[in-house]
Amino acid sequence: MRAARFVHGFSRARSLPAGDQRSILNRDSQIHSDRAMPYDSDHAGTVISADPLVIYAMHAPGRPLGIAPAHAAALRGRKALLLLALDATIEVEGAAGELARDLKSAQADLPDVNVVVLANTPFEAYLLADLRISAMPGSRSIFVDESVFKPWDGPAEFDAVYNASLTPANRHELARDVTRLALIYDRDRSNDPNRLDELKAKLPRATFVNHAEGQGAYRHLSPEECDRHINRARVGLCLSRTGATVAAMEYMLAGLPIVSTPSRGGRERYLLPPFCRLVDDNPPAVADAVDVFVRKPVPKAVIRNHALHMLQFERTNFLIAINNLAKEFFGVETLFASFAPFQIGLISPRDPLPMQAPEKAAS
Amino acid sequence: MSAGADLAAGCIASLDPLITMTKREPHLPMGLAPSRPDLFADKPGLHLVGLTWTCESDWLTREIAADFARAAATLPRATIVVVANTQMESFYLSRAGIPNLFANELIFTDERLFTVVPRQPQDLARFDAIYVARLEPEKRHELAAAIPSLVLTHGRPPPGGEARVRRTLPKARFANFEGTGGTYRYLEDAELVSLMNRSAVGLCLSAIEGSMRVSMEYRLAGTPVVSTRSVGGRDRYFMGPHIRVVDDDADAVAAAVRELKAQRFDRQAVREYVGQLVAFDRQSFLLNLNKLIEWHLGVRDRFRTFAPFMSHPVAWRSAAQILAPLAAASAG
Repeated sequence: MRAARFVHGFSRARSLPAGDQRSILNRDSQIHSDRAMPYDSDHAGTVISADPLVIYAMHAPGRPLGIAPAHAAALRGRKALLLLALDATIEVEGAAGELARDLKSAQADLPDVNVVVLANTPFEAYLLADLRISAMPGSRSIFVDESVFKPWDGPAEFDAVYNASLTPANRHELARDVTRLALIYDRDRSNDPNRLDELKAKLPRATFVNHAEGQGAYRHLSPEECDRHINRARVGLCLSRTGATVAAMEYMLAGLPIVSTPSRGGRERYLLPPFCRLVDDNPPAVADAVDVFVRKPVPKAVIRNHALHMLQFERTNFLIAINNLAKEFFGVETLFASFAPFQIGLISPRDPLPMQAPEKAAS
Repeated sequence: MSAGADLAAGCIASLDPLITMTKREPHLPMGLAPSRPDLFADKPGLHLVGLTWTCESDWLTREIAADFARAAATLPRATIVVVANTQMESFYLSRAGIPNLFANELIFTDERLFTVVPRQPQDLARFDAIYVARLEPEKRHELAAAIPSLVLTHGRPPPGGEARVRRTLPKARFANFEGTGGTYRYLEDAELVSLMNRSAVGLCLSAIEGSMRVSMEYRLAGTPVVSTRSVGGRDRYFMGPHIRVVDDDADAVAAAVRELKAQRFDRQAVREYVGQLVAFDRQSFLLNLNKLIEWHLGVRDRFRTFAPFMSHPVAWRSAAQILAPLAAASAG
């Protein structure tokens, strides 16, 4: 039964020509470490365990199994578990079907690789189950590094910060009425070279942090620098309609409350009152909600502790599930005794990555 | 807990659109709705089916797949979705192509029934531990043998069940048989909550079952928990200082009980700790259920509060009671 669609459905980007894929791969924005090392086939996953072989990879259009095909020779004939994260939500009409087709086609070349999709929401897992795709809920936000994102002392100079690539999907315009606004962004994620100028015109009072730091030229910010700039504001913004929006967890770990518009794709799971205000899709509503938090601030430590509590809960259960998967596929009890093997930058893997590990493990 | 033939667990959460949530039982393999095609076959709707027993294995999932196929054929206009208690159940079900939504059923435990009782009469007995479990071998009462002061409560025992457990636990108090002249007496919720509040620790000793409601009821009543490792979903909320998960060993269970008892936790803190986790998962359940409803039935944000689901999905009633809202709507 597929009678109805979402009232506010969105079409999902289809696969693009090869030259455009990098920008699509990067379009999910807000992910700090991508700025250091844009995705390519060598930076879309990593080996979590060499024996038995467990790989974490990021799905993207045109690369259904993430890194796995790049190491196909090493993977053939070798039993492996591939945990496949989703770079963009499939909670839109047609997206789950497209993913299912891609996966079935790609898996034909790697018959010994057991692929389990880590859905960012239970509803994504539902959509995949309906198509007989192995999946379980496992949000990407649980991989945010709390040792990087943490509160800083000192007065905040901005009312709000928005950490999001400058693509139209992130709807920066909704922050128009915020008086003191800071923007952090990834240069490589915009398809439109005029987008920066357009936003500067629409948000004349905003501080474009990456360009301010580069004295007018774009400068990449490390995750640690992102955290410092997030801490220059009192409130974090999440204004896109879809996506896991890992930045939401980064804000909270830094001790910032969140103003968000309604969304689907993952971040909504973590946006609980009283640390988050959900508002309508209009600039006055966003600004008003920011103002409430500015006038009545919540202590940073309280927000961070709340985020850490959620993370601990999620990670504990993720570990239970992954160990059960390892038992199912390899017959190994408690393959992972702690979450530590997963705290290596899985939000978007960084250089250097042990990407030769499958070959080494195979040999 | 398994229901009698005339009982079912669940509710009609919404009449427009039609949303039901009932449990899988031997006599109701896909919940209540497919058992009543006379009421449901001609209606579009969403029927959520909770799991009484874990499906964390391929053969259990295969059984569900067959039952699901029959139910889907019986209710061709409806959407049937199994509610998974664990992420791993969600995996098994997805691999079998069974539509499922992950939401551990412990979130439906009613915190208004299971509460901290601040002042207990001084003349009431106190216990090191309480074990609320049917007197069935799978509950492994023998693992409580080394606990000095133990109280047991349970449903009506199977033939020989009481004698077997009395032989295993000769010092234990059997609350359902006290003051009754040896006949079984059902305990009201308030009595159960009182016993939990007078026990230092609650026990969960089975190796495999469903999500085990009492594992949540203990903590909402402010009682820390000692559990063995388990399959079925109760371990989802086993984190924090009030929990010990131990080996399948009576001495290990007793040692953990002693340790937790010695810590004399603030019962309200125990309740609030797990309450935060439950609130988090309830929000997630509503978000994802609303998406499911919007996807299939075109109604946005159908549920804005958890109230329609409080308690009912894990409380047994007669089928007629569950179906009463539908009957009333038809009559009206």
